[in-house]
Formats: sequence, structure tokens, C-alpha cells
Amino acid sequence: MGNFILEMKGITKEFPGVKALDGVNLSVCKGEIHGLIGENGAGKSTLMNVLMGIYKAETGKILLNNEEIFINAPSDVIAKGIGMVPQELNLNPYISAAENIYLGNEIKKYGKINWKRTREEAEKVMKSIDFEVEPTEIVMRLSTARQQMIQLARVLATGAELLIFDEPTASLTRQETDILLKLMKKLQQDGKSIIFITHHLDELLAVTDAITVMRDGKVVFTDETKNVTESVLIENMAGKKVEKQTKVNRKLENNIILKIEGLARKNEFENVSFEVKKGEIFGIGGLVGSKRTELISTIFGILKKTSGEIFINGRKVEINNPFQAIQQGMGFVPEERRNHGIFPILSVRENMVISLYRQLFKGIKIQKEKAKKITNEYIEKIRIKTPSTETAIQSLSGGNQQKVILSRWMAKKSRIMFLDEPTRGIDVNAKNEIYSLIYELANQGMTIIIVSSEHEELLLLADRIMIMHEGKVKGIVEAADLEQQDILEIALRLGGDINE
Amino acid sequence: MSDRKRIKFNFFSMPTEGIIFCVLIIMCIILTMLKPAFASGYNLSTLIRTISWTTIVAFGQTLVLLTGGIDLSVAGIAGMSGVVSAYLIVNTNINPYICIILVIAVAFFCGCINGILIAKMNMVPFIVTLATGSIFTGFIYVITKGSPILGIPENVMVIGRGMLFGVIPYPAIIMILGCIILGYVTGYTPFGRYIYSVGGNKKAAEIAGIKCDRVIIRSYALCSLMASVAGILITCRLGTAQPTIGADWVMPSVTAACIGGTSLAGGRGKIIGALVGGVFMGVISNAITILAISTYWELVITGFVILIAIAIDRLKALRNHEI
Repeated sequence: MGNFILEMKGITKEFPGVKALDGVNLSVCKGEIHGLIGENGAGKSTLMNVLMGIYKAETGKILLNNEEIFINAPSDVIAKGIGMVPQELNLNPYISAAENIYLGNEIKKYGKINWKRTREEAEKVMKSIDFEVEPTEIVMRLSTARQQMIQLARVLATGAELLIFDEPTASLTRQETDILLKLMKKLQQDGKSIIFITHHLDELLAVTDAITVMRDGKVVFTDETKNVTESVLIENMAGKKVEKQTKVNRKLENNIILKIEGLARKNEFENVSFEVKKGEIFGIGGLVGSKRTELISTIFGILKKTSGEIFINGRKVEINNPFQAIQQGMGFVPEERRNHGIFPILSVRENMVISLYRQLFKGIKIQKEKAKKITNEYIEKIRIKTPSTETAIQSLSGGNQQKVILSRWMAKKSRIMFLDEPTRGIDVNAKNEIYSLIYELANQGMTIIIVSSEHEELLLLADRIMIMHEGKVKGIVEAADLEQQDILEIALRLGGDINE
Repeated sequence: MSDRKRIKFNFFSMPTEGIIFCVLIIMCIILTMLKPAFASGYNLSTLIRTISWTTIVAFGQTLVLLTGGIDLSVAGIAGMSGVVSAYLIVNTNINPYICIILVIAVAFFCGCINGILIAKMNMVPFIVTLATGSIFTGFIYVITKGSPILGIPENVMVIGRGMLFGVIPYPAIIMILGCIILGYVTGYTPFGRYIYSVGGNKKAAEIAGIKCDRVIIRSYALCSLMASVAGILITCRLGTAQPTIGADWVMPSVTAACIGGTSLAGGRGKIIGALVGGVFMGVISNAITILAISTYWELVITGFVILIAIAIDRLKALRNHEI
């Protein structure tokens, strides 16, 4: 087989105490889309960082077009025609699209930047991926999906033949994802080779030609996509059979715990009214830009409302800040875990008991031992993988960080929990664990309000789903009656509401 | 991939203030060997009194740094507290101790203003405290017209000059007390832990139900309180209120905190670190004197020491894979 564009052979990378990569082999054929999948911490990112020259491997060699290459710095790799669209975009938000595309690769004339040609060339590159934006537009003003396209344009502008997409769909809506997947197919037709890293099995099965599964720093499975099924992938990723959460149809008493009446926030959403029963899992669906996050942030007091009323157990409550919301028994798990959820450098224990400190402050000091006991209790109960209660939370995987934040509110004995995209960036296995945890909490009487852009997730978990579009409620329906496309249909339907 | 716990001692697994403390002890041993006079009671008690002013300020500064801010107004607060308390003591019949408490209360209030401007109006700490610091310093000159205030009675000067058992200066005792109290507050009270969480991630702290504004305002207020105490102590020590009191305390207070492992980005650091950092800087300055090195070298050496201390911190992070 002489048609490999890339071969990585026997790559080993060790960090003190951890073998992050252990003799990894990866071969990518010319012109194929090669899927790379594995749980968080499996070594996908480390492998790509080795390829991109960010880490140096201890052993192993890398062949590009059957020739061994030696990589010392990221610039070497880029010069050889490999480019990565990273998960965390690294654009400069304050400068124009065109300047970002040619950043580090400036088009110069007599030593000074030729702005006119930069703009023209940038426009050409963007056109080649059917992407239209003014080259002079400041990147900050663009949506995440569009910023990602600029990042892709930058990679193409360097003349890359092998493109790496690191979880490109993690922060995209369904439609944006579809557009991106189509684009990858088109790039493939143009002769590019692609390595595609994702947590979404359906995306992999839809576009790839071959799939490699990694686990614990090793390649455990690789085959052509046509021979592969979803369950094979999941088993290989987890190293065991995964208990997939199945839909449970639950019976609820008609006991209204939370009632929202005519809630509005200027320029964002208006006239939102709904009721949630005790122990219900209430989903909020819709497209990005439907202002769902803003809605629950307003109920929780993070944002100020313009008008409307909130009732808990039939009693009207005033909520002006999160502190008051928490006093009313609410809890909130934010969408941006890293920016809004965790305290990265503080320990797992502090992250978990931060909202409990007032209760733990007995006599003259915080009862640290009791805090530790509570933390250990939850670590055991919901199986948080952490070396100890004192480990800094930033070194845990996303799924485990999410569990710590969930247990913060469980320990606080919250009665109403808001979850905003609770499984974003979390691997399949941890996802299912979080699903069963959500069911368990609801069965114990906790009321759960969940915002998600993954419609399968809403259909799986929610008893009822409220569908929003551009700040308006389009309908509240029983989840059992719904199919995925119904959500879209309701969201986009013009005019009138339907209520069950 | 071994699960065995290594019992091997690892220098870099110690907290930063511990590493600096070890270096400090080694330095003291070498100094004693070179010049036995270093370890004399007289030298040590002078040393500890000299460091107490900036270290007391550094405790307050640490609180503010932990929230992710910085307080440049400590110089103005210290100077104003010294001058105003001396003015009241000399020119009124109010009991001197009541004067002092009054002045500290006013300083606390001034700190609140800093905090309110920063927390409620979302202004940048650096600029806010630069401006208020200038205002406070300006008031000193308005009050004194540039000349020192003389005539503080002997019984008040004792606070700054006296010694317990003839060796431990009172300011040093106040410094140790400050360290214990603030160390306890930051380590064992909800308010203290909130300081760390606000500095670690303000948005997350808010969502966790912490009243961030209140935490920030209190931190700046306590910082001003500490600066005020230091300003009054040195006034009592000198017996006169010089308008320049505290003028050069701002950067040393930040430096002491940073040498002791406090991060300028907020969320990381300890009060005890400021004590270790303060003593460390004092010992270096003392060493320069007793080794008869030209004092002109002091700034150069201090600069290098800060770089080395920060390098140790980075090395530690590298070793432990925090970056």
C-alpha cells in the first residue's frame, strides 16, 4: 500500500507517571476522511499535538507521503502541508477576517503587508469553501460557526493537504453541523485528506471512510467504516459493554412546583409562561439564538428580567441574584463549564462544597473534615473519577467536572435544577452516566429543567418539551408524542402556539 | 502508570512559600556563619521591626491580589492615616487611642470606596486605586502643607517603639497577630474561601450563590485597614508624622506577596506567604548592610531575587504539569 499520506508508527509519549501514548500506529490514506474517536483522556489530542509539533514523542516515526519527517516546531508541520482546525479556536477576535486568515503567513510586498491582496486572497479562499463574509469584518462580531470557518480558511490558505478537525462540531447546532459535514465531503473531493475527531458516532458513520478508536493511550480498533457499527465503536471506546440509557415514560402527580408567568427580558425573549411539576424533567429545545440560556439565566437571577413573575409552590418569589435563587432551592449547571462552572485551580472538595460553606461554618471555623466526608460521599455515590478530594478540578475530565458541579447542587439539596447543555464536550460513556443520574434525581423528586441543542437528548430525558424560537415560546408538548424533526417543525412554524 | 505512591521527597511538590522558607533558612545560616553579628538579638529585633510595616501592608495586599485585583492606594492610605492620627493626637483633647481607632475606621471606609468603585461600577482595580491613592496622598499635603507633624506624646510612641521582654518589638507582635487572624479568615471562614473563588472564577462564584461584590468590597476595606495600621505604627515609631510615610510601600507589598507564592491572576496564594516574602526581603536588605555591600546594590539584588522567586514558581508548575 503506497498511497498513505500519513503514517505514524510506534508513537510513545510519556508524562511523568502517565504513558499518554503507548506505541500508537495511525495510517491515513490519501484522499480519505479518517475518523478518530475515543473517550476523553484516551490520547487523541496528545497524538495530534505530537503530529502538530506541540509535543515531542519519545519514540516512533512519522511518515508523510512515504518519507520520514522530523518535526521540531509547529511551523515545520504547517510548511509540510498539515493543518489543524483546533477545538478551541485561536483567532484574534479584534482584527479582521482577512488578517486572521493570513496571520503568520502574511502576503507581503517590499517587506510590508499588502492589504489589498490579503483581502482578495482571503475572499478567494473563503469562496472555495462556500463561505461568504466581508474580509474586513472584525472576527469578534461573527458567530462561533463562522469563526470556525475562518479558522478553516486559515488552514487552507497555508496550502494544507492534510486537515485535522478536532471536535469541530462540539459547539455547532444541528444545521451548522450538517453544513460542515457536507463541506468536509467537498474538501475530500478536492483531493484533501482529513482526520476528523469527534464524540458523535453518527457524524463519524456518515462521512468517514475509515475509523480508528483509541483507549488509554493505545489504538484498540481500526477498520473501514463500511464494516463498522455504532455498538462496535462504543464497546471499543469503553472497553466494555455500555449501558445505554433508555427512555422511561414516567407518571407524575399534578403538583406544580415552578410557575413562570409572562417573563420577559428586553430584546431577548418575551411573554414566556410555563408550569413545571414536582419531579418533572422539563426540556427546553430550539435552535441556537432562541434565547433559552438567557431565559433560564433570568429565572436563576443571573440576568435581570424586564417583567414577569415567578411562583414557587404557588407563592410569588422575588429573585434578583443567584443567591436568592439558591435560597429558593434552585441550582444551576451552566453551559460553559470552564468559564462559568468550575474554579479551575481549586480542589474538587472546594468546588463541591462552595455553596455549602455557610452550613459548614460551625462555631469559629469551617468543618473541613465534614466537607471532606461529603465530597467523598458523592465521589463514591456518582462515581467521580479523581485521585483525591484535594486534586485541582482542572485536571479531571469534562464528564467528571460536570459530576462535581451536579453534586454541588445535590449536596445543597436543591429542589429545582437548571441544566444548560449538560453533556456538551462529554464522551459517550460519561454522557450515559449523567443521563441515568438525571433520571435518578428526578425520581427522587428533584425537578429538572434542561436546555439542550441535542434533540435526541431532550427526547430521551424530558417528560415535556418547550420549544422556543427567537425569544418566543412556540409550543409545549409531551415528549412521548415527538420525533426529532417535530421539534424543528414547531420551532420554525409561523404564528400561533399549540398547547398539547 | 504505577499506582504506587512515591514516598520520595520532592522539593517541587512543596508549596511555594515552603520552598522560599527553606531558602530563607539556608540564607540565614550562611549569614550567621559569615557574620555572627547577624544572629544577635539586637540585629534580629531591628530586622523584624523594619520588615513589619511593609509585611502588614502585604497581608492586606494579598487579600486583594487573591480576588484578582491590586491595591495601589495603600501608600496614600498609610500616609494619610499616619498624618491624620498625629494631627488629632497633637491638636485635640481626644484620647489618643480613640483617635487611632477613628482613623482606622476612616481608612476602612476609604477601602470600601475602592471596593465599591471596582465591584459595583466594574472599574479596573489598577486605575481606580491609582486614582484614589493620588487623592489620599494629596490630602496628606493639604493637611500638612508638606511639613511633618511633631509632638506625639511619649506614651503613644510606645506602640511603635516598645518591646516585649526587651527584644520583641510591638509592631512585630501586631504583624504576627495580623498574620494569624487573616490566615485564619482566609483559611477557615466562608468569607475567606469566597475570596479564593471570586479570584479563581468570578462568574462561577456568582452562579454558586456568592455575593461577589460584597467579597471584593470587604477585601479592599481590609487591605486599607492593614495599610492604615502600618501607617500609624510607623508614625508612632518615628514620633513625627512625615508626609512621605508609606510612599514606597506599594511595590514591596506586592513583591512580598508574590515571593510568597501569591498569583497576580488571583485565586492562588496564602497570607503566610506574604510573611515569608516580607522576611525574605528584609533579610536580603539586612545582609547587604552587615556584609558592607554598597546599599546602591540593594535594588539590583532585590530585582534578581524577585525574578528567581517567580522562576521557582514557574519551574514548580512545569514539573507538576500545571501548564
